[in-house]
Amino acid sequence: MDDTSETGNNGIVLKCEGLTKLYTSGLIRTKTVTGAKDVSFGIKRGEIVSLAGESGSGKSTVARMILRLIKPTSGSITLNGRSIYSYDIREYYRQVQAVFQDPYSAFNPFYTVDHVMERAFGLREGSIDPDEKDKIIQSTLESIGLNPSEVLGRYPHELSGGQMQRMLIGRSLLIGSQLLIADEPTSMIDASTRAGVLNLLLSLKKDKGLSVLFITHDIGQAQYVSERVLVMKQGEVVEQGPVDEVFIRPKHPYTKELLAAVPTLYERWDTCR
Amino acid sequence: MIDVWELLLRSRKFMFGLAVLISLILLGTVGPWLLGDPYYMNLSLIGRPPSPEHLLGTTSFGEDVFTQLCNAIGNSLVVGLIAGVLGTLIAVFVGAVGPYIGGMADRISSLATNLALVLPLIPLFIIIASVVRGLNLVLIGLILAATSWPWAARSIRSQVLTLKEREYVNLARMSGQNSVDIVVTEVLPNMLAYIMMVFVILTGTAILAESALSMIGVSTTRTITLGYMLYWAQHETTVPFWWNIWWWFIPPGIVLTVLLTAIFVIHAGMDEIFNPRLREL
Ligand SMILES: Nc1ncnc2c1ncn2[C@@H]1O[C@H](COP(=O)(O)OP(=O)(O)OP(=O)(O)O)[C@@H](O)[C@H]1O
Ligand SMILES: [Mg+2]
Repeated sequence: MDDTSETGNNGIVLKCEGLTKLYTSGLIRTKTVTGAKDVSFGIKRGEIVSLAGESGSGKSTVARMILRLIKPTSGSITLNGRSIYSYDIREYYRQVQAVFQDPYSAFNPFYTVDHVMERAFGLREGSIDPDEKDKIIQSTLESIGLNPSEVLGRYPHELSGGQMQRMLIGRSLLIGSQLLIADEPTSMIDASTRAGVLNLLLSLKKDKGLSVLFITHDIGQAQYVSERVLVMKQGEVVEQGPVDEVFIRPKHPYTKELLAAVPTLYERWDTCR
Repeated sequence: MIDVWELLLRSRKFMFGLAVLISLILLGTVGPWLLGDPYYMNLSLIGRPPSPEHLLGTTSFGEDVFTQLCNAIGNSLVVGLIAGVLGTLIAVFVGAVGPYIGGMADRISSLATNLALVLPLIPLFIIIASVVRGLNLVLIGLILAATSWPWAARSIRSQVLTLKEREYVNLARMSGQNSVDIVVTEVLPNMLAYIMMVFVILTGTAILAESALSMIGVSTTRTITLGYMLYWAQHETTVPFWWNIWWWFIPPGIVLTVLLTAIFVIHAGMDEIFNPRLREL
């Protein structure tokens, strides 16, 4: 597969159209919850798009559908112009990877953190000898500002949240993916390391042309990393556009509400510390 | 995770139970090998009390009680092990793989678990004992295994359902692993401790169940187990009153109690370590 040339459609990497997810539970008396409703957007090569919204608004639902972890009820998702379901699963994950909200849950406590990195090689074609593997892992870690000897061979609980999130970003680099779904990657790590992770995303975007769907409930972070933003409420995208436009001249009342909540959020963090 | 095993080695309960269990295992394996034929009847030595030649006396058939006891320990442990290993395997398979794959596989495994849960063990045994001639240890182990796993499968299932929501399972999936791979390498290792506990409990209850069934005469009547000894000690009538031969039924009774207590203490020790809430540090 020659992926670099076929971005087509004005360099659009990922495109979601009319994406809807209804969760049903119960066998006889079924209950339906709307996870996402008619969500449409696109992400270009080398672009960071933020998906903002309060808790339960359906952000992770959208992320999970893009990651092929759950099936959409209706709507389509295309990667480089092809339906994501037309890709072989390994081929797909070579191009699309993720970083999740809770780094502590992303590492299996049973193994050292090396496990996650080594597993990533499973996506590559052909075999690779162990020395080569170690070298690739080390240089990848170094390239994202981690000292390999400080993190490798350790158990997850011996690392900080920021180190873990960086390793996970490193993992998707190692795979060489072109699209990263970052589902609230900074919400569980403290403010000082948070900037490091955000800057890492920005530099990867610039240097490697990485596309990112940056999911957050924090308008400030959305403003910092992305050029475009989507605002979700109760499963629907209520507003989308360039960051400055949406946040400086919000049209939808919900966006205004979100913006109004920002200062109070920061105040609360300050007093907590 | 690794620390847990270290804690286990430092747990007094666990180590004490293990020491008792190991001594019983030694008695049950080395004993029969050193002592003679447990079925040998010396008709000139019937119902003799303990003496230097016959440490625990003789039965009313003239058999040596100590020799029988060592064989009984070994055989009871064999039944327990067969039932414990097999029951654990079934519980893990039904409890983990079905729910992980989901959909139809999950429904079938749930149904099987619930059916097995209501299967009546004792009537089943009585029927099988009356139909099958010469029930042997392996067969009894198999039947006990087949009836003992459902509760374990249920709790393993609920744990798998929680563990599969962890993000590392999603990451494994995004590393191209298939469901079976994920269960084996990501989910089950985190349940090793619990699975070991299931094994210990299933083994203990199988030993107890076999003894109880032997005592009411529906288990093997040819191979010596602890329950077999108790059965014959009660039913033998050549001596006016069976309780006159106390050295025949007291030793297997004590050994059975000690064995089950050791297993219980091992379980309690593991429980303390594996359930952090009970852990006193
Ligand atoms: N597996 C599921 N089964 C049923 N309902 C679900 C499931 N997952 C999510 N939901 C529901 O779908 C809605 C959207 O959830 P989602 O996790 O996408 O929200 P979110 O925006 O990511 O929230 P947060 O910021 O808290 O992570 C919620 O109402 C949630 O209760
Ligand atoms: Mg979420």
